[in-house]
Amino acid sequence: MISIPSLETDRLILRAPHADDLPRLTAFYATERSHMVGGPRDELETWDALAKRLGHWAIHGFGLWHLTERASGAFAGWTGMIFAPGWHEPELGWTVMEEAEGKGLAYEAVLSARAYAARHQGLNGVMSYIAHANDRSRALATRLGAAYEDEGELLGKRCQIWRHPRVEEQA
Amino acid sequence: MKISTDFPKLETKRLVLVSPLTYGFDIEAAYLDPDKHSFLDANPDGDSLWWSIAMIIGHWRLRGFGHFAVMEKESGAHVGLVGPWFPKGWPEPELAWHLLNGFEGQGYATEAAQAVLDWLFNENGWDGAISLIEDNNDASIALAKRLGASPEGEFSHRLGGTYRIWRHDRSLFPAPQSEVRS
Repeated sequence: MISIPSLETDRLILRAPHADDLPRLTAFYATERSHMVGGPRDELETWDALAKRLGHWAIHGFGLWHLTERASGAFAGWTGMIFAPGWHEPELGWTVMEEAEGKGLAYEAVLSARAYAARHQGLNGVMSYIAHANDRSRALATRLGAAYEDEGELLGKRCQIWRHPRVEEQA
Repeated sequence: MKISTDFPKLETKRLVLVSPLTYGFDIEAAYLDPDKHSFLDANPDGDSLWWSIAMIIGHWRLRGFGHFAVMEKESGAHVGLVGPWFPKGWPEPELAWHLLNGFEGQGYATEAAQAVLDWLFNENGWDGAISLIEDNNDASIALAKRLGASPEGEFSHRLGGTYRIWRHDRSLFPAPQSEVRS
């Protein structure tokens, strides 16, 4: 089967997307919040999306990790490298569930994913697409040391391109 | 509907069928290289091909089964993808097939499909299987008939498109008499 690595941070596990995540994913994709990341989606579309995330890992050897909060076991969102049709280059992306916000979990997760991508997936000095309206993501990108680079477009929607600093490749 | 092994491998007279998740299998080289063979009747939109392949792979992980990568035994050449397909919302598990250009007219789809049906019915205890085929898809209809399937009702896909349900005949794939089944 596909071998998707697991990473641990202080408070999170970054691990393979799993069928057990479907109820939480389906609930998320029914919300307004999901509109910036491919939503809204119904139950069947969410299943398809989960299958595609797993397929992405098999095709590329990288992809989105799903996040589990270690203390509670709760599903906290996802982060990782995305390079699907329409993407101009591999993107470091993230989405955090509402209940997991405001605790610095996104920062912890994305930092870990970014370092792993640089050291083990051959992806360094990567970019993130950020919607103009997404102040939270912009704040996080800034905190991560990324800087605004250019205007861009993803799947017909105009957005910003932010560039991350290169990660030291020797761990 | 279960599958009995993590890494199923089937063999016919001329073909070998493996899971595309088998360690070392290069999915991109097999199906996503624009300089190599493309799929028969493929949507010319390369983007939707990528998503279809991603879904076929992910389906294996979510369902524990999926399309087999079919290869010529002698040459190792990729022939296509044939296997059980049951995404969420599908009426019933389906036997689906996607042949690569250049391999038509050799009976490969029939040979692979028969091997998969035999395996599903006999190794995995499946009760039934269907194939969903549009009425204008002459090649697939001919294949369904060769496999002994019979047309019944219709299935309307939520994204549009209406398919006729072709039901496969389990009695055409009897368990081998010489084997002792536990």
